[in-house]
Amino acid sequence: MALELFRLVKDEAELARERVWSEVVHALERELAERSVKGYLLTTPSYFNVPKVKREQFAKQLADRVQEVIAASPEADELNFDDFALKRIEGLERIACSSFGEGGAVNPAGIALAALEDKLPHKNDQLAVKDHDRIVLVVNWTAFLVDPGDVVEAATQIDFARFPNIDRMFFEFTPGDIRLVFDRSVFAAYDKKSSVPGDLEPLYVQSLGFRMARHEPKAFQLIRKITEERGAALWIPANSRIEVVRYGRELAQSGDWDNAAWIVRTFEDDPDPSDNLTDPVGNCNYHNQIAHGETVNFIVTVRGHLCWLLQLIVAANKRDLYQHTLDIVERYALGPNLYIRQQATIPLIEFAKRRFTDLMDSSLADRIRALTLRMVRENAEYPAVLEGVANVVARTPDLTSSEAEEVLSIFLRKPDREAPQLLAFLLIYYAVFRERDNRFGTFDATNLGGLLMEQVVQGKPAIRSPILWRIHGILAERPAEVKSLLSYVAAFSAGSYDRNAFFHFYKILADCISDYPDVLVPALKEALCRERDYVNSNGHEIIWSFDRQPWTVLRKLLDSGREEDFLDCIEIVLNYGSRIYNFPPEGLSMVLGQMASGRAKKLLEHARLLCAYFHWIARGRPLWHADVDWAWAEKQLPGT
Amino acid sequence: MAKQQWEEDAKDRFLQFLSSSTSEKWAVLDEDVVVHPATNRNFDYRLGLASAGWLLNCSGS
Repeated sequence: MALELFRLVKDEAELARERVWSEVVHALERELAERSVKGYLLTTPSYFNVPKVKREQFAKQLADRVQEVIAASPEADELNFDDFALKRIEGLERIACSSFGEGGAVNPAGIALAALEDKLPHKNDQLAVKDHDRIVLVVNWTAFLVDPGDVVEAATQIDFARFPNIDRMFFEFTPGDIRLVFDRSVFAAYDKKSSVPGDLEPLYVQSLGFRMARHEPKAFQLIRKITEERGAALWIPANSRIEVVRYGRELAQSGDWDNAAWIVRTFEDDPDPSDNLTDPVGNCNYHNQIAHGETVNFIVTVRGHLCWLLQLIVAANKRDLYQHTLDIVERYALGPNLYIRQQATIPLIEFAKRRFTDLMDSSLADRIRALTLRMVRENAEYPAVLEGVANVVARTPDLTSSEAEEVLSIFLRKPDREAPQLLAFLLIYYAVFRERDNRFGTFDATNLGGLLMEQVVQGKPAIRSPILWRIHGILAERPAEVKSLLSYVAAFSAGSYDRNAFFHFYKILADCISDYPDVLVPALKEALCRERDYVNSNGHEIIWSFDRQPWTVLRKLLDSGREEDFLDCIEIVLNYGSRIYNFPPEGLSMVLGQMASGRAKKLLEHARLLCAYFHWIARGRPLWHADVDWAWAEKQLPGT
Repeated sequence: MAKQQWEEDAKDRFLQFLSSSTSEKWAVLDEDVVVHPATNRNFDYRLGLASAGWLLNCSGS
């Protein structure tokens, strides 16, 4: 056996730095030991930039400094000086040194690959000997940064045909922990798509897994071949099976439906994640998280990933695969694992979108509808699943009025994350627009209208705000819908104050108040009163950006000739006190100054006082930007 | 060229690894084995079963 060794270091320059550090630290420890300084851990910078000839002297000076610092505070447990730290360790009979790490992002497999690429050409030349088993032993000097898996991964990225003299490579992770990381027969087997001796299978499987993770077509072909020979894919670990399924999406996107369908058939019953919900090893963690009301918004597990491949199949309109795909989706959607139920909604959304197309017959379309309703009912306690189902319901416009009422009531119990946006859409659709949609028969929206009204006024902030936002969007696109939606906007201000919802409310009013003052002015006054009462009862709250939508609404009110209503509103607003940020002093004083009524003049005086007060409390704000009477303000508030 | 300490230590641990994984005693048969005399290119260690080393020693003496 011919053996060549090399050390795996992060890089050669770092090795050199570590040598210098080690030399300085040993000299320092010796120096301090001679001076009988002990009992501390000294943490140093990670390297010293000291020329070789000066290192002894540097260590002596450093020892002086350490001694001096300790002598200055002999009782202290922790001492810091320059870039050093001393920590008292009871019973330590010397000064022990360590260094601060440098930190930063690392790529262990990349470090290994760089080292192998650098060293193997030379090692290959050194092992140019016949009739020997030619071995490279890589000794880890990266302090656990690089592990055996990283070296195997790196080795799979190297074309060992370039290094015919290397038969095997071992990696010593920690002293004595030696692992096989490359074997020529494994490399050859991959090259020729043949099998390997049984004892090399773990390395073979691991190498294949890394190649699959890089989505190498050859790795997939080999996995398919061996899986067909063995009848199942469980010979590769779950993370490799996930990679195969992820690769399936690439195949589907490139139109390779034979291989994509094979992946679906092979992995549809994969045990990852487990359906054994009492599994003590924690394979059902995501199920448990959802069961406990947590949000799980990442794609994990083999079957979890498979749902995204199924989505592509449906989205690509592969009718021949629909029946089988829906069978799987149904199984997942009604299965015990909540995480898989949640993921099943991904392809189900695509199915729901196509229910009214020629792509599917009525029996398939009915199954999708029934499954959607069943998912709502059976997941009423699981908001994270319902969020996915809400996306399906949003593509299900043919619910009956009682179904819609039932479904929306369930959703409204525990809205989660994105669900409010969808709920706002669904509530408005079923309460306002569904009746007009003749495609799906008659519809009685009475109760749904009541539900929408209830949510607009009394709903949670998370629901009210998106409803107002959506109404604003609809009105911006289709102003004629104002007649259907105005009553909800007008009723809104009867509810409590909420910053986001009020923002959208003012936006709607800015667009509509000129045309519908009789309905909206009372709502506006009520809203301003709510806002005033809210800020006055919450010491820390401030109304931001009053000079934008709210002020626009007030100006429009004035422009439409409703002077008294305008003054009513200003009177309310001035009672917000100092709680309005971005109050529009210029505009307000100008508008009030131009009005002839005694009430306007009185309000102007109030406004000036408020403005002056504002600038007084905010000092740093440039007063000359505001159209306030500076002389008057100075007179009123001589302290400024 | 004289071996560095880390090389000696790593070689010893590798011998131990070989011995425990093959249930046979392995030993260093030679070191700095030249493979290209013109350049003096060599590999670090030639290893073999300890019994083979004994045979080599016998034949060499």
